[in-house]
Amino acid sequence: MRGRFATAVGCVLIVASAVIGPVFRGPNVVTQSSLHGNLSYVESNTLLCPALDAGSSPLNGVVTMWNSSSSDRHVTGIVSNGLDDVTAEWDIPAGTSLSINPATYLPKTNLTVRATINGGGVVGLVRTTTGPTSSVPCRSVGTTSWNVAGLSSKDGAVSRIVVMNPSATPAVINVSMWSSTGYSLPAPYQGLVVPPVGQVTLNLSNVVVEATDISADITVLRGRIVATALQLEGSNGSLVRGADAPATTQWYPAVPTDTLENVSLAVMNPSSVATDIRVAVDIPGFDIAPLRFTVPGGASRVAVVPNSRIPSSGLASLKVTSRTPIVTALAMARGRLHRIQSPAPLSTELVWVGSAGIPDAMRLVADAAGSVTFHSQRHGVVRTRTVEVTAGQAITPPQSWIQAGRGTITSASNMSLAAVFSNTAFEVGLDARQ
Amino acid sequence: METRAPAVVAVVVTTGPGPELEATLASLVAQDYADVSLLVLANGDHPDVANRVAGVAPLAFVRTLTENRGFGVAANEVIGNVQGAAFYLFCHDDVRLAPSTVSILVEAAYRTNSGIVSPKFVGYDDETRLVHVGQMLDRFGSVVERIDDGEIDAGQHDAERDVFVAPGGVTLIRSDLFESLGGYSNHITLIGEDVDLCWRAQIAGARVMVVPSAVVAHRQLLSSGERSSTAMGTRRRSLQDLRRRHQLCTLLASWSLPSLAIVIPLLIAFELAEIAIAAAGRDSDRVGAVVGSWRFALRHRAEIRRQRELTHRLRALSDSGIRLLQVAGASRAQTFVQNLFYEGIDKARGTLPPELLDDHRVSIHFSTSREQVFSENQDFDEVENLEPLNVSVRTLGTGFRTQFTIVCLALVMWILGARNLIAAHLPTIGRLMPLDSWWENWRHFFASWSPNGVGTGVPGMPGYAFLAAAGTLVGGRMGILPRLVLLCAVPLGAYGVGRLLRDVMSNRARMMAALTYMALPVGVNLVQQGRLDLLVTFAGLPFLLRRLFALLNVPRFRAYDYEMPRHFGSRLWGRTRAGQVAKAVMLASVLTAFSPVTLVIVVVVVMALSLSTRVSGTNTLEHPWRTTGQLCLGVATLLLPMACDVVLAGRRGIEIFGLPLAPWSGVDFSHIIRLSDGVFGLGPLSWAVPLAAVGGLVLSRGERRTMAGQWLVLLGVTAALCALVARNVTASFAPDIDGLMIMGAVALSALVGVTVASLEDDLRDREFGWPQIVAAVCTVAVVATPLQIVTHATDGRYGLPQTSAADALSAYTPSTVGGFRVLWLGDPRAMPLSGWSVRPGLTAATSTNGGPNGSVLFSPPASGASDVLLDTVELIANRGTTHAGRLLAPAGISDIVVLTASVPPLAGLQSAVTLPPPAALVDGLDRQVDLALVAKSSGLLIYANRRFHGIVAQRPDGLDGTLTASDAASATDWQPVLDGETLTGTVEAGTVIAGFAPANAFSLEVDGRPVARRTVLGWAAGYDTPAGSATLVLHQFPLNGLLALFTIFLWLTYLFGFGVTERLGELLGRRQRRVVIPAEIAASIPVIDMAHDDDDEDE
Repeated sequence: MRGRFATAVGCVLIVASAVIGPVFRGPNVVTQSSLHGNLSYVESNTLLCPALDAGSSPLNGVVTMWNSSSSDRHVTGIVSNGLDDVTAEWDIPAGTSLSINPATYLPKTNLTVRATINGGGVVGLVRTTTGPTSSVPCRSVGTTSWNVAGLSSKDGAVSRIVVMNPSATPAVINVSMWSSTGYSLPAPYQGLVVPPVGQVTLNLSNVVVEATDISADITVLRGRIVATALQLEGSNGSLVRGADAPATTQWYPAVPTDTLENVSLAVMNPSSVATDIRVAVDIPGFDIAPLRFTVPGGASRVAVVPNSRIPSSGLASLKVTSRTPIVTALAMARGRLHRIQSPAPLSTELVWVGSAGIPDAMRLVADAAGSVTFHSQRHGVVRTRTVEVTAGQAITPPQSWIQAGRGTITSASNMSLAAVFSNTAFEVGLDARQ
Repeated sequence: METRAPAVVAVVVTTGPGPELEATLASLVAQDYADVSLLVLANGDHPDVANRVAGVAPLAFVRTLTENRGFGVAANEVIGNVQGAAFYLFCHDDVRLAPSTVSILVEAAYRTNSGIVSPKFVGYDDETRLVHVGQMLDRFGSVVERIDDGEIDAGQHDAERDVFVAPGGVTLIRSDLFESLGGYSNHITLIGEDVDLCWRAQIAGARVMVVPSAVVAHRQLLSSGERSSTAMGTRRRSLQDLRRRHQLCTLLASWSLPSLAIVIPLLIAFELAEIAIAAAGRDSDRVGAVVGSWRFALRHRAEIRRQRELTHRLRALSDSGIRLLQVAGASRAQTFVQNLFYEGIDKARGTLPPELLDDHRVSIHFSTSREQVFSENQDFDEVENLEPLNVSVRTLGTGFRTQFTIVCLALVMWILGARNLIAAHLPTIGRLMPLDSWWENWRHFFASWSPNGVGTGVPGMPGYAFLAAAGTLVGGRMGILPRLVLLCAVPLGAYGVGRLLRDVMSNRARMMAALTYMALPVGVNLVQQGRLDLLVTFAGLPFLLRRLFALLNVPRFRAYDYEMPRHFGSRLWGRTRAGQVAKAVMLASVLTAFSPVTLVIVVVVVMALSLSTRVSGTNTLEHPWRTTGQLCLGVATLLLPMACDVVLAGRRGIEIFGLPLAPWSGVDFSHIIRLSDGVFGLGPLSWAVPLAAVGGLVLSRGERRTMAGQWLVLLGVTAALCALVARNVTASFAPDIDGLMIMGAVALSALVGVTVASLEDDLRDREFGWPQIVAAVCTVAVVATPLQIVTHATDGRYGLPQTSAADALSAYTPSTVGGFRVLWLGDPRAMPLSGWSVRPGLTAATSTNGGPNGSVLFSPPASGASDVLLDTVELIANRGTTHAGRLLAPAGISDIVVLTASVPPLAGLQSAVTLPPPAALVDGLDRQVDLALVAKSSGLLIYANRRFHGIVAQRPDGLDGTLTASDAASATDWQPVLDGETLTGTVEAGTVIAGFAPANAFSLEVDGRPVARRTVLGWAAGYDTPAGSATLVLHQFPLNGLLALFTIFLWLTYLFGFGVTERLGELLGRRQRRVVIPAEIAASIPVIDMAHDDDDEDE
């Protein structure tokens, strides 16, 4: 009898050990940084900001860095055009932003800024200042793959990709391309080495001549990269952020809908099999049936034709979903104005740098229903405001937040943010966890 | 009256005459031989001998020898004192001759032309039993009897024949031969003088015969122990001592040099084996006899040399001729093996087994007689009519031959499986790293500074001292030690399990438990991972548990009652409770010095036993927590430097038992229950052991059920703790999971033993049904368990890799100017050296000027200034920095090695377990602007630090003391200076920084003059130097050395407690040796009581 009690206790302990494992197992994931987290542990950070051109190019612009922390930050920057480097230093007081024009340091094209900051909480944005402005975020983390769609080399258009290497590890990349002329693996771009803390420029229009719907896929064999595409069409220039990887869901929170606007979706389907895509168009106050397309493997383009009942003014938000992962870009044409826009970043924490000032319109879309909190600081006073949102329905952020010029947004679900300037320029909210 | 019979002088040597003297003399007087003269030699001064002789043999001559120098020396008195005798008849004083003995012997001597003639010896009280009928000898001088012990005389040995030895008692020898040989050897006082004489006679060409028609009854007072020896130099010697020493002297004196060149090495080999077996069985008398024989021979080398010269002059028969007369082979070894095979180890060693000492162990069988079977008694069929019959228990029960064969097979299989480990290159994995020299290991123990991390001044870990002490045993060849551990730890642990379960279950069950321990994947995985520290625990834990269970008085584990308290230092102090605690402390200290998780295991065991006794309601444990406290305190005392390190480490101190694993670690329940944390133990066969253990739980009854419950609770507590540690639930307290699995292995093995015991005893009375089905399944599982040894043994090295990350690193090491460090990062189980935890699942450690070596074999728990490295790694993983290279440069970090597997996996050559570090670490490393990935494979990543400037570096500009490593201004223009090994070289005017901690431990001398030192970057030493020849030297008060000395003093104090002073005194001859037998044995075994004597005449 006595032995049975001990046996029972032993069996209980064995069963307990079987249960503990699955209950307490944890994932091995990368911790996400946050502007709202504890920044005191951040000893330094690096921002890589590609890429601008000097002179009168439509891709002339500025790099804007916003210090969202409560301490001043000292920035050591290296401005490079791939051939020469110039070192400069700047100071960004707490809560303020700083805009610099790389062209004032170096001539020529493909100007990049590599900024080392003595702490955390600084985010950056590269924005063109000529013609229809576009912007891409500065990144502190490289990626091991990168994709872009919607470029063109037709009728004199120039498309380039500037690839930066954020670390001391020589990066090795392979580039594959799709276009209206088909699929290609440009020999010069196979096994291409991006030097440590250096950059290379891929002139796609020299490789794929007189083609439209040029898409590129960069696979990193070693190291990491930060890449941006530059599209030059006459007097129009676009900085195209691209995507780290094909995705099945992409957002365009603010798309002009007036009849002057010609909107088409450039799609890169990396699979050889056709895939179905669904474009959900949302305009407040309207109920619009989703648009459905089937796109073949490779690069293609579909026109986003809204329902004829949609008013010819205002902004729509587009949600593009696909059965298999794809890369998209939104090509917008208004007369002789051409802009290319990558999907807005999706994140649970967004930051608005406001490099171009107060926008004419701003739209925020959340992936799921819930609360969204807006954080801003004005005249030294920190303000927050929480708003309830419906899944997939675009809202305009609170005016006070917009008027503050800079701020962050947090939510439990993914969101995306975009702002429009006179229907010609766009700026997206940045992923604060990058 | 003149006769024609050759004169025979009967020489009776009497020593402290016993009652048989008169009978001896009477039998001599009654001889029918015509011419027998009687000479009585009284050895030692005994006044009444003459009177007693006169009463029986008035015509006898009595000669008193004032000193008793032994039989041989006394017998040699006839030389020169007796004339005209044709034969001498040497007699003991406890024999009784048949009336015609002398006649028959003399007649046979003439007829066969023998030089020495021996009669047939029979029992003194029972003349139907044979004692000796001549003796044979093997080449090593061991006597081989021609008869079995207690053999009945039925005339089977009545043929006259040549023998090699005429045994003492009554020996007829030709007087001329005796005188030619010089008589008996003077240095052979007692026992073996007959062998020596006969061997020399054989060499001289004389014939030695046995004539069984001559009968002599011999009481053998001396060899039977009825009478103690009083001869000089023999009082404190046992018969075994005397026999061994005289045998060796005879051998050395008799063989020629060419023969000795063959015989001596063989003899040494046999005796070493005998010593090993005797030592394992704690037969110190035998060990002393063997060792003492060589000492005796050395002391009497002059006599032996003289004997050799005499023998050489008389030599008529060559050694080859002698060999033909001897028995082939080594009779002692043959006898040992035979007894071992048929009778068991105790009989083979000549000791009494405990079963025969315990009356309760005697089995009783009921039997009856033939008459009763056919009886007309109608009540006969009742059981009560049967008469009980006591039957003595055999030593080890039946089936020993089978058990021995199985054990030998398992050992052979293990050795075969390790065949490639004997000479192969050992990779740098786990704790397998090139050991420093014997002297260096002592230096590490005494050192004021060690290179772990960026350097530390904490006391040296005691493991170095044990390593050095072990190195002493192998003559300083430290390279042998890792191979010894790899080869021997698992079999030794299996032997320990057998000892652990001794007296607890049958030998068959013990054997299966031991084989299970050997077959479980824990051991082979530790070999595969190179975890020498845990292999030491694997080998020693069963022995420690046996002591612990005995201290706690767990039923059946305490072999004997402890002695009453005795004073510290007495011989029997070791058998008191305090002494037993001390032994357990010492053993636990040795194991803990190598793997501190041992201490956790001890506490876990006590907890589990307390729990099981509480729920069982027995509560028989004896002072469990007091004992635990004594053990822990004792270990802390004997490992005082380690204890100081733990205290100095603060919160990190708890990590000495193990480093935390990550919540995503791959150790889940199936691994825990099969005790597998490596490449072995993942197949279906590994489920055999848990399945076999289930049988013990289900089938056991009575005390076996209680035992099964205890072991199951032990296993359950261990498994639960493993599960908690594997998921980081216990936070910083994370005992090494592989160490915990060793405890689980002991428990699981014991459960298998219980299963076998249950199969033996608990099935008989059960009705047929599920128990038999379960028994059948469990039997298959039990049989399948040892087969795992076969599956592990296929590659000949138990999966030990052929290459390691450290080997891959050699291609990336920089120049040694300034010295360099490598920062190792990875899962604690993947690391090739011990280190500190950065976060659960991530450990950091450094090696200097290359891969891990013996100087970083043990890592103190206190990280000290190395926190700068750990903080930087934490920053990297938290995305808190992008120029980690700059932060690590002052510490001289040239490369960062990130391990993602236990070893680099190579298809077809070596397999590895994937042990991923935190994903955030690799992500963070890829973000660094000054770290370049230079090597990437499936097992490791190597990042080179582009900011590296050597451990010792210089720059022209000064270094402001307020600057930190984060400031860009602190990281520019550095160049490495000074040789990385010798720390000497030339410096220019400027600032020198030395990445050694603590900063105040080192001073820089330029052209022989010390340079002022200051602390820079928060921890490193900075010097503003002029140009010149510089040397960096360590200047530290040797506090660690004093602590180390004190620790050694404590160990010596413990050792002295076990009667060392008494034994030393005996060795030096200042104290008599007392043979003290524990009380429970004394009643059953006759004790050879040596008479006390104050004379120290032998040494």
